[in-house]
Amino acid sequence: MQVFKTFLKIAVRKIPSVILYFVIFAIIAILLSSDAEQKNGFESTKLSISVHDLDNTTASHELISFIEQNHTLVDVGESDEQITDALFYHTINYSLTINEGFEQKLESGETDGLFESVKDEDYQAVFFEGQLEQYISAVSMYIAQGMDAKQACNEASLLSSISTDVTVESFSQDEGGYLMYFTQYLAYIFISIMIVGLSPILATFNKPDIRRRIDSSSLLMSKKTLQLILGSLVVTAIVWLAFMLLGIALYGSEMFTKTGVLTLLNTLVYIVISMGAAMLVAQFDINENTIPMVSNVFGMGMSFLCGVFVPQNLLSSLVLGIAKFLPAYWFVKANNMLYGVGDTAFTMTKYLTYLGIELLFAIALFSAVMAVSRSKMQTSE
Amino acid sequence: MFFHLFKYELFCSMRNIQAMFWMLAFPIVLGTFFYMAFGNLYESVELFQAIPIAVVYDDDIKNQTFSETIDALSSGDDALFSIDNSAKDKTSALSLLENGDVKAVILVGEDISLSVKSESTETSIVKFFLDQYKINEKIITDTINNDPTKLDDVIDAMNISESFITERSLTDGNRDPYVQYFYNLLAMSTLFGSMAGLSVVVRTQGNLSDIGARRCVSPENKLVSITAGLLAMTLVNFICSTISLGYLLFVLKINFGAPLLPLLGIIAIASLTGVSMGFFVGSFGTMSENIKNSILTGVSMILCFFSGLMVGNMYGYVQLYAPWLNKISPAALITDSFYSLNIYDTYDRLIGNLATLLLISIVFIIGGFLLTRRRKYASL
Repeated sequence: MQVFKTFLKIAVRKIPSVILYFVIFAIIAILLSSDAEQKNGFESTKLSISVHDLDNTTASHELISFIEQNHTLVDVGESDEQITDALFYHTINYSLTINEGFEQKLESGETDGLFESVKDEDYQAVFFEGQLEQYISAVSMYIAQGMDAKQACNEASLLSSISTDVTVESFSQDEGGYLMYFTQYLAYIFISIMIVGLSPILATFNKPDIRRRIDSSSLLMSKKTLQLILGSLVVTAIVWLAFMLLGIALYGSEMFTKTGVLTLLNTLVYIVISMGAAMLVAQFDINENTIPMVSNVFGMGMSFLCGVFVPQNLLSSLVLGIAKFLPAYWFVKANNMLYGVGDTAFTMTKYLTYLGIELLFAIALFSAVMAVSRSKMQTSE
Repeated sequence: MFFHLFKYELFCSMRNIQAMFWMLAFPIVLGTFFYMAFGNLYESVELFQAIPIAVVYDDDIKNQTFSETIDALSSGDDALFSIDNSAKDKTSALSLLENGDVKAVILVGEDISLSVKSESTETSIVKFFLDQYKINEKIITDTINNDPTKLDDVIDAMNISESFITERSLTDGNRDPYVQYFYNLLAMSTLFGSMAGLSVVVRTQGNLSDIGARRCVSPENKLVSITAGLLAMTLVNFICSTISLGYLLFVLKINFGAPLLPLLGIIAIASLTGVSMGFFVGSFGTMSENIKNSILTGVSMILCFFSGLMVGNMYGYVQLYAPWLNKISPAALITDSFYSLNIYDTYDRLIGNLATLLLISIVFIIGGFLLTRRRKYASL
């Protein structure tokens, strides 16, 4: 088992760079789960709104507390510059100024120029302005009934108890939120970590001088290959287990539901693909400094094309067309389907089909590894 | 002698494949990926478009008012909804929902209810519309019951002035938030120039390379040779980043919201900052070139993470919770320079950013000089 032992010795020296990836990923995962909230039923979207009250009357205060009930008030400062920055970086979705004379105008039945706003023409703005319009319309109607502004605002706030019944149709197996994101990002992390961690070890054995030395020894070729594969499997298993433990630490029981187990199976297949990719990279005689470049280009490229960072249904059909020829696409598709995200409804057959396609990629990669190493044996000696 | 050194530093940098990859190839590759992923997102996802819905009426109860209202909201140029009429019953409507053809299904029977697939702003808008319908219905019924003489006034008051909000625009620049990924890309590309800065140290320090050892025994003034190296690397970094910028502007047609010349100015200063950062880290301590390289890659990446290379609104978060970081991080300063050039008509903020970048560069260069001068080796 000399080759295997050497393999592990080199692997131990690669631990720091693997740990770096692990830590970065753990931080991202913790950040994601930190704003995880348990959701019960349908909740309307909460926006971040900055309000600047120039009127400062009972009516304007009532309005602000109405906004606060439905959204989050964020104070980003009042200068134009602060508001522009906050809107651009989405720290706030909408900036509202309640103009002076707000209460007076309401009482006199006038609704022109009550507010001033800075916003984008996006869904959030349409949503918030609709709510605002509804509120003002209700207040005006109450005032037309003969109430004063304060009373009317009060009544209008009470109307938020009138709410339409919403059924969130569940087409998926399970309503798992954050585990989905966790596993989705694994598509990026696994491929990066395996190329950075595993390829250099294998590349060492592929250095021409070392390879010739081993091949000219009494060790059988098949035994050497077997030990290298064994070593790779050990590294792969450790990486996979480490991430699964992280998952259990963060999401606990969610990992052990039916969906959780299917998700795990998907990641297991995917890390085998990543192992194949790492082995293939190692076959090409590239120097150690180049490996992080390869890993970044592969990892990021596939992630962007296949919908790891940007949801698949937002990508153009051209991009998706290309992505179908990459394994991460099928991994993400299966993962999305498990959690009812995206356009495909869950069926076991579809899940197994996607997994099967992923396995085909793995087989293709391993065949490529064999072919390249064979051809090297025959040409260089 | 200065020009001789300058020339050969340029030649050397061309052969530094690693630095070339990070400064030139990687930004172009990543830019292409960004473009594929974010290219049309602002228009297709962020900007409002009519929300596709399906409406299913209970055959026994004809709710004329509701169907008129929703039809009115679904017609015209600024329609709120677009109604999919292909569904005739609840089952077929729900299958439209399942396949993602519609975002919500409104069920109109004795009561009005809503079925959605997930929570989103779009479905919230639909729910909000139904709430509004019910609220108006309630107020009008209340009025009829309590004081029917006021009914006309109340109905008049229901439709409030369309200009109850006046919109103020604060900028003529490109408000597409995804453009900031490309700002960050250039920030990353210029900061990766730090690897070129590191190579200057490697080529002058006796313990790091043979060329360094050779140079240590030459009579040439170290100040001159290092200055030549730094300038050559800044030029290379500038050229690489300019090629990346050109690719973004003219091939991918990204709208930076600013003319070319000032953009080049930002890149020039950012290139200097990148190289000087590498020079400083390179001069520091006795670690090997590989370790210093990893430190520089790591630092650049982390700075770019906090200025928004991976998560778009990161700069905004940092501004909210740790604004000081945005004031000193080179990546944030570079990103913000592009941003302020795009968004603002005035140049105060841009000039402030660039001045800080220059200051940081000067501190790094002076620090680097102090660390490398008069270094002697007992043996190599």
